Amino acid sequence: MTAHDWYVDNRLAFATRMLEGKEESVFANHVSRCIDCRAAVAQLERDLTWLPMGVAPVPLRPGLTHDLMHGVLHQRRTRWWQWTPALAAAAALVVALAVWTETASRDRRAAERAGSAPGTAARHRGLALAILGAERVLQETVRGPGYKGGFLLFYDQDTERWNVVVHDLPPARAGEEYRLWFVTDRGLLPDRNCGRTAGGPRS
Amino acid sequence: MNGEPVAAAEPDEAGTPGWHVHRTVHAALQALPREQHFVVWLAFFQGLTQTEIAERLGIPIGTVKTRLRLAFDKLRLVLASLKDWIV
Repeated sequence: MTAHDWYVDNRLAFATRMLEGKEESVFANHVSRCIDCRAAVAQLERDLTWLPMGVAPVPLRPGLTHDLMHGVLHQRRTRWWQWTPALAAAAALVVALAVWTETASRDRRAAERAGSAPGTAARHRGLALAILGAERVLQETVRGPGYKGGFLLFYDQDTERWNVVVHDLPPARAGEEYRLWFVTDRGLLPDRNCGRTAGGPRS
Repeated sequence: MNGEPVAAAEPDEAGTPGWHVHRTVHAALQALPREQHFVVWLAFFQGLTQTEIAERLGIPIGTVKTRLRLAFDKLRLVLASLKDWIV
């Protein structure tokens, strides 16, 4: 048995956070240097993405779905079906993504500016590092006509916060913007501090 | 097993977002042999380490690893199919 066999043997335990503190640190250090183990662990985590759904989804209050479709999405009634997969998945993670009416042309210009800002690359690097070190990562892809985006939900140990990242969705249409909504025991509540970034929701 | 994930009996459960995924995952967990199911439950839903599970069940840590590996090999097949649900 080689030294590396121990890591191979414990990939699943690491991916499912079952190693003891010291062992986990040793493994994490190894993963940062070993391409094979990093890929294997990443694959395990992807394969097990849905396992938390073994717990029953949060029971929604009666009429919530109706309110969501006819209240929040009333502006897009003819195309609401395009959003139901994303909504269903997001709500299952206790976070619902919805669109909301607002001005768009100003937001589009702001998005263009944000995309070329010097700090953008640095923010992305920071985000990537945070995800890499996250304790739990859930992710899903959302595809539609002409786009492929998705969302990530991860816990950042350094900041002790849950983070939601929604990426690569199509630009908001004129008069619309993206917003995050939270499914709670008090119903569907908007994130009032959610940035109104046009061109797509920001992380 | 107290606290174990169970399928809630909601009258409008089919309309609950994520219910299809939950039913599929729950069924996959239920289909595991009892000893594998219990280890997965302790590991993933209770957050115990493999050492803690071994102590709790009074079995060698190698047995914990084996049961988990067998369980996740089965679960991965089912969970992989769920990737197509959203896309």
